[in-house]
Amino acid sequence: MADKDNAAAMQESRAADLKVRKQDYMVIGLGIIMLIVAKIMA
Amino acid sequence: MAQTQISQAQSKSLGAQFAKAIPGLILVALLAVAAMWGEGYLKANHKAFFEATLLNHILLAILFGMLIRNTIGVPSILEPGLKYSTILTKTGIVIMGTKYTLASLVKVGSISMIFITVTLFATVGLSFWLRKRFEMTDPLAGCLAAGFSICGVSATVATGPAVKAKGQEMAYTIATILIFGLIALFTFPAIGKAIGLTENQFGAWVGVGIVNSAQVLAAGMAYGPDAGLMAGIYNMGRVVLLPFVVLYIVMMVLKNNTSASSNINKTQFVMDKFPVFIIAFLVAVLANTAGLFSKEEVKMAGEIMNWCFALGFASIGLTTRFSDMKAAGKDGIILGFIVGAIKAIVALIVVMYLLPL
Repeated sequence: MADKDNAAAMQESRAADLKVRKQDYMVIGLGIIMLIVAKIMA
Repeated sequence: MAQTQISQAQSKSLGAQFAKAIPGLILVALLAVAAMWGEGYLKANHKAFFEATLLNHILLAILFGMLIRNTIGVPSILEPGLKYSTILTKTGIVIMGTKYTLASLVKVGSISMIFITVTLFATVGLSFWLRKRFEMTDPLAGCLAAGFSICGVSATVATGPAVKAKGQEMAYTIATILIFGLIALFTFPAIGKAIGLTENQFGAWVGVGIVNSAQVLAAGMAYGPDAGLMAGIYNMGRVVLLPFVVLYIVMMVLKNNTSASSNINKTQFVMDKFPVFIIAFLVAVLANTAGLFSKEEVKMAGEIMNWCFALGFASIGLTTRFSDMKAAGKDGIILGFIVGAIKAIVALIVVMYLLPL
Protein backbone atom coordinates (compact mmCIF):
# COMPACT_ATOMS: atom_id res chain seq x y z
CA MET A 1 0.00 0.00 0.00
CA ALA A 2 2.79 2.41 0.99
CA ASP A 3 4.75 1.44 -2.15
CA LYS A 4 1.68 2.21 -4.27
CA ASP A 5 1.35 5.60 -2.57
CA ASN A 6 5.02 6.36 -3.22
CA ALA A 7 4.73 5.32 -6.86
CA ALA A 8 1.66 7.54 -7.29
CA ALA A 9 3.49 10.47 -5.64
CA MET A 10 6.49 10.01 -7.94
CA GLN A 11 4.20 9.85 -10.96
CA GLU A 12 2.47 13.06 -9.87
CA SER A 13 5.87 14.65 -9.33
CA ARG A 14 6.99 13.72 -12.85
CA ALA A 15 3.74 15.09 -14.31
CA ALA A 16 4.39 18.42 -12.53
CA ASP A 17 7.98 18.41 -13.84
CA LEU A 18 6.75 17.79 -17.37
CA LYS A 19 4.41 20.77 -17.12
CA VAL A 20 7.27 23.01 -15.98
CA ARG A 21 9.50 21.60 -18.76
CA LYS A 22 6.86 22.46 -21.40
CA GLN A 23 6.64 25.98 -19.98
CA ASP A 24 10.45 26.27 -20.13
CA TYR A 25 10.42 25.29 -23.83
CA MET A 26 7.83 28.01 -24.41
CA VAL A 27 10.11 30.48 -22.58
CA ILE A 28 13.10 29.45 -24.72
CA GLY A 29 11.05 29.98 -27.91
CA LEU A 30 9.70 33.33 -26.76
CA GLY A 31 13.16 34.43 -25.58
CA ILE A 32 14.73 33.65 -28.96
CA ILE A 33 11.92 35.49 -30.77
CA MET A 34 12.39 38.53 -28.52
CA LEU A 35 16.16 38.55 -29.14
CA ILE A 36 15.55 38.48 -32.89
CA VAL A 37 13.00 41.30 -32.46
CA ALA A 38 15.66 43.29 -30.52
CA LYS A 39 18.14 42.80 -33.40
CA ILE A 40 15.58 43.90 -35.99
CA MET A 41 14.31 46.91 -34.03
CA ALA A 42 17.74 48.25 -33.02
CA MET B 1 -6.12 11.14 -40.36
CA ALA B 2 -6.65 10.66 -36.63
CA GLN B 3 -3.39 12.52 -35.96
CA THR B 4 -4.52 15.45 -38.12
CA GLN B 5 -7.77 15.60 -36.18
CA ILE B 6 -5.89 15.55 -32.86
CA SER B 7 -3.51 18.34 -33.96
CA GLN B 8 -6.47 20.37 -35.29
CA ALA B 9 -8.26 19.94 -31.96
CA GLN B 10 -5.09 20.90 -30.07
CA SER B 11 -4.51 24.05 -32.14
CA LYS B 12 -8.20 24.93 -31.78
CA SER B 13 -7.98 24.55 -28.01
CA LEU B 14 -4.74 26.61 -27.96
CA GLY B 15 -6.51 29.25 -30.04
CA ALA B 16 -9.50 29.19 -27.69
CA GLN B 17 -7.17 29.49 -24.67
CA PHE B 18 -5.44 32.49 -26.21
CA ALA B 19 -8.78 34.15 -27.09
CA LYS B 20 -9.92 33.71 -23.48
CA ALA B 21 -6.67 35.23 -22.21
CA ILE B 22 -6.88 38.40 -24.32
CA PRO B 23 -9.04 40.56 -21.92
CA GLY B 24 -6.75 39.79 -18.96
CA LEU B 25 -3.63 40.37 -21.04
CA ILE B 26 -4.98 43.78 -22.06
CA LEU B 27 -5.36 44.72 -18.39
CA VAL B 28 -1.81 43.45 -17.70
CA ALA B 29 -0.48 45.51 -20.63
CA LEU B 30 -2.32 48.64 -19.42
CA LEU B 31 -0.80 48.26 -15.95
CA ALA B 32 2.67 47.74 -17.45
CA VAL B 33 2.27 50.93 -19.52
CA ALA B 34 1.06 52.81 -16.42
CA ALA B 35 4.06 51.52 -14.43
CA MET B 36 6.54 52.53 -17.15
CA TRP B 37 4.92 55.95 -17.40
CA GLY B 38 4.83 56.25 -13.60
CA GLU B 39 8.58 55.63 -13.32
CA GLY B 40 9.29 58.25 -15.99
CA TYR B 41 6.96 60.74 -14.28
CA LEU B 42 8.54 60.23 -10.84
CA LYS B 43 12.07 60.51 -12.24
CA ALA B 44 11.26 63.71 -14.12
CA ASN B 45 9.09 65.49 -11.54
CA HIS B 46 9.81 64.00 -8.10
CA LYS B 47 13.44 62.90 -8.26
CA ALA B 48 14.06 63.02 -4.50
CA PHE B 49 10.94 60.92 -3.81
CA PHE B 50 11.97 58.43 -6.52
CA GLU B 51 15.48 58.08 -5.10
CA ALA B 52 14.13 57.61 -1.57
CA THR B 53 11.43 55.05 -2.44
CA LEU B 54 13.09 53.38 -5.47
CA LEU B 55 9.64 52.98 -7.01
CA ASN B 56 10.71 51.81 -10.47
CA HIS B 57 8.40 50.28 -13.12
CA ILE B 58 8.65 46.82 -11.54
CA LEU B 59 7.60 47.87 -8.04
CA LEU B 60 4.91 50.15 -9.50
CA ALA B 61 3.52 47.29 -11.64
CA ILE B 62 3.26 45.07 -8.53
CA LEU B 63 1.70 47.87 -6.46
CA PHE B 64 -0.87 48.81 -9.13
CA GLY B 65 -1.79 45.14 -9.59
CA MET B 66 -2.17 44.50 -5.85
CA LEU B 67 -4.19 47.68 -5.45
CA ILE B 68 -6.69 46.63 -8.11
CA ARG B 69 -6.93 42.99 -6.91
CA ASN B 70 -7.49 43.93 -3.27
CA THR B 71 -9.82 46.91 -3.72
CA ILE B 72 -12.18 46.75 -6.71
CA GLY B 73 -11.23 43.12 -7.50
CA VAL B 74 -10.69 41.43 -10.87
CA PRO B 75 -13.72 40.14 -12.86
CA SER B 76 -13.56 36.42 -13.69
CA ILE B 77 -13.42 37.12 -17.44
CA LEU B 78 -9.95 38.65 -16.90
CA GLU B 79 -8.52 35.75 -14.85
CA PRO B 80 -7.28 33.54 -17.75
CA GLY B 81 -4.99 36.35 -18.94
CA LEU B 82 -3.26 36.62 -15.56
CA LYS B 83 -1.61 33.19 -15.68
CA TYR B 84 1.45 34.14 -17.71
CA SER B 85 3.56 35.84 -15.05
CA THR B 86 6.11 33.01 -14.83
CA ILE B 87 6.54 32.75 -18.60
CA LEU B 88 6.99 36.52 -18.90
CA THR B 89 9.49 36.85 -16.05
CA LYS B 90 11.47 33.79 -17.24
CA THR B 91 11.56 35.26 -20.77
CA GLY B 92 12.90 38.48 -19.24
CA ILE B 93 15.64 36.43 -17.55
CA VAL B 94 16.61 34.78 -20.89
CA ILE B 95 16.88 38.23 -22.55
CA MET B 96 18.87 39.43 -19.53
CA GLY B 97 21.63 37.08 -20.77
CA THR B 98 22.60 39.75 -23.35
CA LYS B 99 23.66 42.02 -20.48
CA TYR B 100 26.44 39.64 -19.40
CA THR B 101 29.60 38.26 -20.93
CA LEU B 102 31.34 35.03 -19.92
CA ALA B 103 34.02 37.18 -18.27
CA SER B 104 31.41 38.90 -16.06
CA LEU B 105 30.00 35.53 -14.98
CA VAL B 106 33.50 34.21 -14.19
CA LYS B 107 34.21 37.41 -12.24
CA VAL B 108 31.32 36.61 -9.89
CA GLY B 109 33.11 33.33 -9.71
CA SER B 110 33.56 30.24 -7.73
CA ILE B 111 33.63 31.88 -4.28
CA SER B 112 30.11 33.22 -4.84
CA MET B 113 28.95 29.83 -6.08
CA ILE B 114 30.33 28.20 -2.92
CA PHE B 115 28.55 30.90 -0.85
CA ILE B 116 25.25 30.22 -2.67
CA THR B 117 25.59 26.43 -2.32
CA VAL B 118 26.44 26.54 1.39
CA THR B 119 23.58 28.98 2.06
CA LEU B 120 21.03 26.80 0.25
CA PHE B 121 21.89 23.55 1.99
CA ALA B 122 22.34 25.28 5.38
CA THR B 123 18.86 26.82 5.01
CA VAL B 124 17.36 23.38 4.41
CA GLY B 125 19.23 22.02 7.47
CA LEU B 126 18.08 24.95 9.61
CA SER B 127 14.45 24.53 8.48
CA PHE B 128 14.40 20.83 9.42
CA TRP B 129 16.14 21.51 12.74
CA LEU B 130 13.66 24.27 13.66
CA ARG B 131 10.73 22.20 12.34
CA LYS B 132 10.86 19.99 15.47
CA ARG B 133 9.80 23.01 17.53
CA PHE B 134 6.66 23.64 15.48
CA GLU B 135 3.41 21.78 14.86
CA MET B 136 3.52 20.77 11.21
CA THR B 137 3.61 17.78 8.89
CA ASP B 138 6.80 16.53 7.19
CA PRO B 139 5.54 17.45 3.68
CA LEU B 140 4.78 21.01 4.81
CA ALA B 141 8.21 21.27 6.42
CA GLY B 142 9.72 19.97 3.15
CA CYS B 143 7.85 22.57 1.08
CA LEU B 144 8.87 25.39 3.44
CA ALA B 145 12.50 24.23 3.40
CA ALA B 146 12.48 24.18 -0.42
CA GLY B 147 10.68 27.49 -0.75
CA PHE B 148 12.89 29.35 1.70
CA SER B 149 16.17 27.90 0.48
CA ILE B 150 15.96 28.10 -3.32
CA CYS B 151 13.70 30.17 -5.53
CA GLY B 152 10.38 30.23 -3.74
CA VAL B 153 7.40 29.27 -5.80
CA SER B 154 9.20 27.11 -8.42
CA ALA B 155 11.00 25.18 -5.71
CA THR B 156 7.74 24.57 -3.82
CA VAL B 157 6.04 23.33 -6.98
CA ALA B 158 9.02 21.05 -7.73
CA THR B 159 9.13 19.64 -4.19
CA GLY B 160 5.45 19.37 -3.24
CA PRO B 161 4.40 16.30 -5.25
CA ALA B 162 7.67 14.47 -4.47
CA VAL B 163 7.14 14.78 -0.69
CA LYS B 164 3.40 14.03 -1.01
CA ALA B 165 2.35 17.53 0.08
CA LYS B 166 -1.34 18.39 -0.16
CA GLY B 167 -2.47 21.24 -2.40
CA GLN B 168 -3.20 23.47 0.58
CA GLU B 169 0.26 22.79 2.06
CA MET B 170 1.86 23.99 -1.19
CA ALA B 171 -0.49 26.99 -1.34
CA TYR B 172 0.34 27.79 2.30
CA THR B 173 4.09 27.67 1.58
CA ILE B 174 3.72 29.88 -1.48
CA ALA B 175 1.66 32.41 0.52
CA THR B 176 4.31 32.45 3.30
CA ILE B 177 7.11 32.99 0.76
CA LEU B 178 5.24 35.78 -0.95
CA ILE B 179 4.49 37.59 2.34
CA PHE B 180 8.18 37.38 3.32
CA GLY B 181 9.22 38.47 -0.17
CA LEU B 182 6.82 41.41 -0.28
CA ILE B 183 8.11 42.72 3.05
CA ALA B 184 11.71 42.18 1.88
CA LEU B 185 11.01 43.82 -1.47
CA PHE B 186 9.96 47.09 0.14
CA THR B 187 12.39 47.08 3.10
CA PHE B 188 15.70 45.61 1.81
CA PRO B 189 16.43 48.51 -0.60
CA ALA B 190 15.91 50.99 2.27
CA ILE B 191 18.19 48.92 4.55
CA GLY B 192 20.80 48.68 1.78
CA LYS B 193 20.76 52.45 1.35
CA ALA B 194 20.88 53.09 5.09
CA ILE B 195 24.00 50.95 5.58
CA GLY B 196 25.63 52.11 2.35
CA LEU B 197 25.78 48.85 0.37
CA THR B 198 27.23 49.16 -3.12
CA GLU B 199 25.04 47.99 -6.00
CA ASN B 200 27.08 44.78 -6.36
CA GLN B 201 26.83 44.04 -2.63
CA PHE B 202 23.09 44.68 -2.62
CA GLY B 203 22.54 42.50 -5.69
CA ALA B 204 24.45 39.63 -4.07
CA TRP B 205 22.57 40.10 -0.80
CA VAL B 206 19.08 40.00 -2.26
CA GLY B 207 20.19 37.22 -4.63
CA VAL B 208 20.57 35.05 -1.53
CA GLY B 209 18.36 36.79 1.07
CA ILE B 210 15.07 37.03 -0.86
CA VAL B 211 13.61 33.73 -1.95
CA ASN B 212 11.20 34.32 -4.81
CA SER B 213 13.10 34.79 -8.11
CA ALA B 214 10.77 37.52 -9.35
CA GLN B 215 11.12 39.44 -6.08
CA VAL B 216 14.93 39.06 -6.16
CA LEU B 217 15.03 40.71 -9.58
CA ALA B 218 12.50 43.38 -8.57
CA ALA B 219 14.47 44.36 -5.45
CA GLY B 220 17.79 44.34 -7.33
CA MET B 221 16.49 46.50 -10.16
CA ALA B 222 14.85 48.88 -7.70
CA TYR B 223 18.31 49.50 -6.16
CA GLY B 224 20.04 50.12 -9.48
CA PRO B 225 20.92 48.52 -12.84
CA ASP B 226 24.17 46.91 -11.60
CA ALA B 227 22.39 45.57 -8.50
CA GLY B 228 19.76 44.07 -10.83
CA LEU B 229 22.44 42.34 -12.92
CA MET B 230 24.25 40.99 -9.85
CA ALA B 231 20.95 39.77 -8.39
CA GLY B 232 20.27 38.08 -11.74
CA ILE B 233 23.57 36.17 -11.65
CA TYR B 234 23.02 35.05 -8.05
CA ASN B 235 19.48 34.00 -8.88
CA MET B 236 20.81 31.88 -11.76
CA GLY B 237 23.34 30.29 -9.42
CA ARG B 238 20.49 29.25 -7.14
CA VAL B 239 18.22 28.05 -9.93
CA VAL B 240 20.96 25.74 -11.29
CA LEU B 241 21.11 24.05 -7.88
CA LEU B 242 17.33 23.56 -7.65
CA PRO B 243 17.20 19.84 -8.60
CA PHE B 244 19.98 18.94 -6.14
CA VAL B 245 18.43 20.81 -3.22
CA VAL B 246 14.99 19.35 -3.96
CA LEU B 247 16.52 15.85 -4.05
CA TYR B 248 18.19 16.52 -0.67
CA ILE B 249 14.86 17.68 0.81
CA VAL B 250 12.99 14.64 -0.53
CA MET B 251 15.63 12.36 1.00
CA MET B 252 15.29 14.22 4.34
CA VAL B 253 11.49 13.85 4.32
CA LEU B 254 11.66 10.18 3.31
CA LYS B 255 14.57 9.23 5.55
CA ASN B 256 12.31 7.19 7.81
CA ASN B 257 10.91 5.36 4.81
CA THR B 258 14.00 3.50 3.53
CA SER B 259 12.22 1.58 0.77
CA ALA B 260 10.77 4.80 -0.71
CA SER B 261 14.04 6.71 -0.59
CA SER B 262 16.03 3.84 -2.12
CA ASN B 263 13.48 3.57 -4.95
CA ILE B 264 14.26 7.07 -6.21
CA ASN B 265 16.32 7.13 -9.41
CA LYS B 266 18.47 10.11 -8.45
CA THR B 267 19.89 10.82 -11.92
CA GLN B 268 16.40 10.76 -13.46
CA PHE B 269 15.11 12.95 -10.61
CA VAL B 270 17.78 15.62 -11.22
CA MET B 271 17.28 15.46 -15.01
CA ASP B 272 13.49 15.84 -14.67
CA LYS B 273 13.77 18.88 -12.43
CA PHE B 274 16.56 20.67 -14.29
CA PRO B 275 15.28 24.15 -15.34
CA VAL B 276 16.13 24.00 -19.08
CA PHE B 277 15.36 27.68 -19.75
CA ILE B 278 18.76 28.40 -18.17
CA ILE B 279 20.33 26.99 -21.34
CA ALA B 280 18.72 29.81 -23.35
CA PHE B 281 20.07 32.35 -20.83
CA LEU B 282 23.58 30.89 -21.27
CA VAL B 283 23.21 30.92 -25.08
CA ALA B 284 22.34 34.64 -24.85
CA VAL B 285 25.46 35.21 -22.67
CA LEU B 286 27.64 33.30 -25.18
CA ALA B 287 26.12 35.19 -28.14
CA ASN B 288 26.92 38.50 -26.43
CA THR B 289 30.44 37.31 -25.55
CA ALA B 290 30.99 36.34 -29.22
CA GLY B 291 29.98 39.88 -30.25
CA LEU B 292 26.74 38.86 -31.97
CA PHE B 293 24.93 41.83 -30.39
CA SER B 294 25.91 45.45 -31.03
CA LYS B 295 25.58 48.10 -28.30
CA GLU B 296 22.29 49.31 -29.80
CA GLU B 297 20.95 45.74 -29.96
CA VAL B 298 21.87 45.12 -26.30
CA LYS B 299 20.09 48.36 -25.40
CA MET B 300 16.98 47.32 -27.34
CA ALA B 301 17.10 43.86 -25.71
CA GLY B 302 17.24 45.68 -22.35
CA GLU B 303 14.08 47.63 -23.25
CA ILE B 304 12.27 44.40 -24.21
CA MET B 305 13.49 42.79 -20.97
CA ASN B 306 12.05 45.72 -18.97
CA TRP B 307 8.69 45.24 -20.70
CA CYS B 308 8.72 41.50 -20.03
CA PHE B 309 9.34 42.20 -16.34
CA ALA B 310 6.73 44.98 -16.20
CA LEU B 311 4.12 42.65 -17.75
CA GLY B 312 5.14 39.71 -15.55
CA PHE B 313 5.09 41.74 -12.34
CA ALA B 314 1.77 43.37 -13.19
CA SER B 315 0.34 39.81 -13.47
CA ILE B 316 1.94 38.90 -10.13
CA GLY B 317 0.37 41.97 -8.48
CA LEU B 318 -3.03 41.21 -10.00
CA THR B 319 -2.96 37.68 -8.57
CA THR B 320 -1.74 38.63 -5.06
CA ARG B 321 -4.65 38.40 -2.64
CA PHE B 322 -4.16 39.70 0.91
CA SER B 323 -6.96 37.35 2.05
CA ASP B 324 -4.90 34.27 0.93
CA MET B 325 -2.03 35.56 3.01
CA LYS B 326 -4.25 36.07 6.07
CA ALA B 327 -5.61 32.54 5.70
CA ALA B 328 -2.11 31.04 5.76
CA GLY B 329 -2.11 30.71 9.57
CA LYS B 330 0.80 31.34 11.90
CA ASP B 331 3.11 28.34 12.54
CA GLY B 332 4.49 28.05 9.00
CA ILE B 333 4.82 31.81 8.73
CA ILE B 334 6.78 31.99 12.00
CA LEU B 335 9.11 29.16 10.91
CA GLY B 336 9.53 30.65 7.43
CA PHE B 337 10.21 34.13 8.74
CA ILE B 338 12.77 32.90 11.31
CA VAL B 339 14.60 30.92 8.59
CA GLY B 340 14.33 33.77 6.07
CA ALA B 341 15.54 36.38 8.58
CA ILE B 342 18.52 34.29 9.76
CA LYS B 343 19.52 33.61 6.15
CA ALA B 344 19.24 37.30 5.23
CA ILE B 345 21.31 38.45 8.24
CA VAL B 346 24.06 35.85 7.63
CA ALA B 347 24.08 36.68 3.91
CA LEU B 348 24.37 40.41 4.68
CA ILE B 349 27.39 39.82 6.95
CA VAL B 350 29.08 37.60 4.33
CA VAL B 351 28.39 40.09 1.53
CA MET B 352 29.67 43.05 3.57
CA TYR B 353 32.79 41.53 5.08
CA LEU B 354 33.82 38.36 3.24
CA LEU B 355 32.89 38.46 -0.44
CA PRO B 356 35.25 40.37 -2.76
CA LEU B 357 32.54 42.43 -4.50
